[in-house]
This record gives sequence, structure tokens and C-alpha cells, in this order.
Amino acid sequence: MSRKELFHLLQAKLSRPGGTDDSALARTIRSMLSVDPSAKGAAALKRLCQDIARRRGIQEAFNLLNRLEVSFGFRKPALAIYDHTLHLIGGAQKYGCTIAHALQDDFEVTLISNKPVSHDDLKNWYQLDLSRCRITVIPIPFYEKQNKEFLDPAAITSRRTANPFHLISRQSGRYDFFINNSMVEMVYPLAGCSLFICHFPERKPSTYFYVDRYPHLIYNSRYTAGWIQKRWGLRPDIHLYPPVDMGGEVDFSAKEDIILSAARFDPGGNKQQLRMVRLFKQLAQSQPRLLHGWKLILVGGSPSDNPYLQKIRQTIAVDRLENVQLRVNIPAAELKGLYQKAKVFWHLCGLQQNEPELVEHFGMTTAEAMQNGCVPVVFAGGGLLEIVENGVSGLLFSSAGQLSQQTLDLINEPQRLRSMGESSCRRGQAFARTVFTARVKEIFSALLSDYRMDK
Amino acid sequence: MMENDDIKKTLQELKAFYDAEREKLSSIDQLVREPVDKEIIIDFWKLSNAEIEREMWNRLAGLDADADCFPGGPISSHRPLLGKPIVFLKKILRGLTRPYSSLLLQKQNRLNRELVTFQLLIFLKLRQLGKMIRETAERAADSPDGPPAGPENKKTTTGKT
Repeated sequence: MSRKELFHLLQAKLSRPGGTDDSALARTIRSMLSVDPSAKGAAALKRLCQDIARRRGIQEAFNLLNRLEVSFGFRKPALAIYDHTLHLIGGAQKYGCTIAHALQDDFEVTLISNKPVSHDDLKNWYQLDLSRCRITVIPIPFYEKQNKEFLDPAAITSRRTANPFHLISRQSGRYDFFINNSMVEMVYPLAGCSLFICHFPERKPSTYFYVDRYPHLIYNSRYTAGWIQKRWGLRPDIHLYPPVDMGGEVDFSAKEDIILSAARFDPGGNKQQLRMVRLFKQLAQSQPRLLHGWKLILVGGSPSDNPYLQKIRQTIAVDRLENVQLRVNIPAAELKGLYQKAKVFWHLCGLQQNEPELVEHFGMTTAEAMQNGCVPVVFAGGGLLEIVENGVSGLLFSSAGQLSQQTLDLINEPQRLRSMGESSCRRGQAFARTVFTARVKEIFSALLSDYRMDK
Repeated sequence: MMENDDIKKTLQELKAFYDAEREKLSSIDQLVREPVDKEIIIDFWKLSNAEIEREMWNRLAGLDADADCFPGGPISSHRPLLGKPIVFLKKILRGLTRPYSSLLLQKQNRLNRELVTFQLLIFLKLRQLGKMIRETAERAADSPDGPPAGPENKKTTTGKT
């Protein structure tokens, strides 16, 4: 087909009501340039861009040019990962940084944050060398005025307040790929290819909700995917379990009689540590000989002023529970040491909860414990159902009574405890960082191939 | 024949042009040539407890922001010629009615403040009640009729423990 014919075909495509698919358009334009890369071809491209800008907006014309540059191999694709809490340590942030780490060789990766954060911070927090990624800090004036460390998107309750995240929306349009890893639904994606990572749909669609404008929606567990459909009416398309990297050599003979819990001391008590203390006390009282020498160790992060943690401390002190220990804000190495020593891992999050967000969306610490050969005895709900194979690599319970009974049975059968610990260790490897990285590369290789119009 | 370098140069020039054009436009609507915001209708009957609580809080924040019904900001007009006389007349009108309207608006403001505070107290009371119910339910669930069966209290076939 000649340049002239292709040009007319493109104009016809553009003028069609409803427009045409971006990929088809970009493909035809690339063909046009390849067929006739003369000055006339360049002039035709200019006219087409004008037409696209007039009909579909300047952003689309800009995106087309970006895509053509990558398609012709003139530069590496540019990818940005936005996280409004990148300056704070957290599981979701680790998820985004691990994606950046996996892609930094094939893409020009930029991490967009709203508060200052350094490469060293990220390296210390997640043991990831992100030196080939750029960090761009874009302060948001609305939140800067509040002078708070945490930018709370829920502060935007109505259209009375102009969307403060449009600054980020505009920035997203500079990249070939834009990943929103912040759970801020108020960022309108403008990049050539945009992905929204949903760790859990906590809010129903409300003011400035743009998740439906992202062509790709990544989910961290099937549980989350189910709620995305229910709450947002959207069908997520990319499944990516979080990276869990607490594994290492496990010496089962060195394990001690420890029941471990690792969860944040949530001020609202969602992780239910107080309940664990009560249940352990009941168990120890009803089975003193069997539970002799067993300890319950509760590990987790907490803010300095936490009434829930105070309540737990008080209960332990009043009831003189010498076999219950609290370890607050301990370093990762110490936590790993406890995982290696513990035989059983308890996780109650979700028990007797009506709200889906109060159930574990995935269960990072459960997978960490499993990688270290702890037998998980965890609530049968949420993402935990996807991690633990009931009766094989751990046990699932639906009531406090069942948890007590299953724990007693395990303690009473050391052989079963040992073999289940070994299965648990094997199962934990399914969520290792290497698995995550391979999956990320596979996903983005397919997306890039499509973007570059390789086939 | 244009070499790859020429295509590259053309693309770069066009990109620089459209990048500058992008910067000139202030709204996302203009960038994509369509309105990006749509009205979202919430079906209150389908909300969960946490969602209802969130909605209550949002509405309360809205009521609080609207409680003051005194006219805010200076009088202005966007009309090029008639603007100034319109503003002048409006100022006179506002000045003349101020003694009467202020009385009414002050009264309305007091009522609004009281109502917002009362709503806030109802909200807090509901929260406290919810917490009490949850704690009671948790305690009830954790206090089984008897301790779980273990080797130390499992009944034997002869009925002895």
C-alpha cells in the first residue's frame, strides 16, 4: 500500500465515530513511515498528529510519538511507578520496589514519590539495589499544607476540593508505562500503557474514581480479585502474588516450643493479638502438662502511642503470663531468627469479622513463617486460603475453639508437626522473590512486545 | 530516502512540540478532550458497616463545611462593561439588607452548628456502641462451655478422665 493510500486509510479510521483502536492506529502509522520514510512521510505524520490532537486530545498525539520512538528502537521504554507512601516502609511499597528492581535493566524506571526518599532508604528497608532507577519527588501542595507524614487520600471527600492528585496524573503522561502502586484511585492515567495495582479495594467508587480508566488491573490474591469485581464492578486481569523473601536453611532439630505471631499491632485490634493472649492462657490452664515449656511470642510493629498494645501489656502483667512475650518493632534479622525457632504460627486476622477489608488480603507473614518451616494455624478466610493447603502445609480454622483444638493436636503429635513443617517450608517457596521476579518479567515482556508492536 | 536518524529527529521535534502544548493546558479534560469526571451514584442500601461509617463521616465533614451560611468572599462580576455597576449595586443592596439578614443568618448559623455537633455526637456514640458489641461478642466466642479436648481432659471409654 502506498503512503497516500495509508494516509487516507488513517484519516478514515480517525474520522470514524467512536474512533479506532490505538494499537491499530499506531501500527498503520508505523507502516506508513516504513513504506515511505521520505520528507513527505514526515509531513503526513505531522498532519496525522494534528488530526489526532484535534479529535482525541494532545495527550494521545504525544503518546503515539512516544510509542513510535520505542517501536523503532530509538530508546528504552520509560516506566514510572507511583506510590504516595514510598517514603514509609510497608508491604505494598516492597511490592512496587521489587517490580522496579525486576525491570530496571529493560526499562528506564522512575519511582515517583510525594515525599523525599533515598535509594539507601529503600535498600535498607527491602534489601533491593535500585541504583538504576531514578527517584522523582513531586510534593502535593494540598498535603504539604497539612504538614503530615502520611498523605491520606480519604481526606478528599467531595468535589468541593479540587483533585490534588492531578499533578501526578499529568506526570503519568510523560511515560510509556505508568504503574499506580499507591491505591490512590484519584490518579487519572495518561501514559501509553497504564496499570493499577490493587492491594484491596477498600473504598467503593467515590469522588475522582479513575481505576476504570486503567487498561490493566493487577491483583495480589484471588480474594482481592473477587472484591474488585464486587466493589468496583471491574475485572482485574493480572494476578501477581506479593514477593516473600524470608526463606533460608531450616534446621528442624533446632526448633523450640514456640507459637509465634507476626502482625502489626493495629490500634483498632484488627490483628487480634489480645485474643491470642486470652486463648493461649485458656490453653495453658486447661492443658498445663502438654503446654509446659511452650511460649507465645507476639511480634509486630507499632506506633509509640498505641492503646491496643497497652491493653495487651496490661493483660499479660495482670494475669502474670510469664510464657507470653511481646517483641515490638524488632529488626528483620531478629524476626527471621524467631521464625526459624518457632514451631507453630498463629494468625487470627479475619476471625469473626464482617468487613472484607478486615480479613487478610494475602497474608505476607504467614508465607514468611512457612518459608521457615513454621506450621501455620491460621484463619480460614481471605488470601490465607490461597497460601495454606489445609491439612498438608498447615491448618485452617473458623472458630477460636477450632484453633485451640488444632494447636493442641499438633503439639500432641510431634511427628505430624515436623512433617507438616517440612511441607509448609516447601509451600512457602511458591511465594519467593525469584518466583515474583520471573512473573513480573513475563508480564512486562508481553506488555512491551504489544506496545512495541513486535508482532 | 529518510534514514532512521531522520525519523528519530522528526519524532523528537514533534514530541517537543506536543510536550510544550501539553504544558499549556491546565486540565486533564483538555488533554484528553473529554470530561474525565462522572457522577457516581452510591447505593446506600448495599453499604457495609465500615462503608456506612465512612459515608457518615464524609457527609458530616460536608455539613460542617456548609454550616456557616454568611456570604463568603467579595462581590465580583465577570462582565466586561456592566461588571462594575453591577458590583456597585450589589454592594449597596447587601449593605441595606445587612441589619436584617445578619440577625437571621446568625440564628441559622447557631442552629447549624448545634445540629452538626449533635450529629457528630450521635456518630461517636454509635461508634462506641459498635465497639462494645464487638468486644462482648469476642469474649462470648472465646469462652467455650468447656476447655478444648486434650490428653489431660479427654474422656476415656470408661468415662474416667
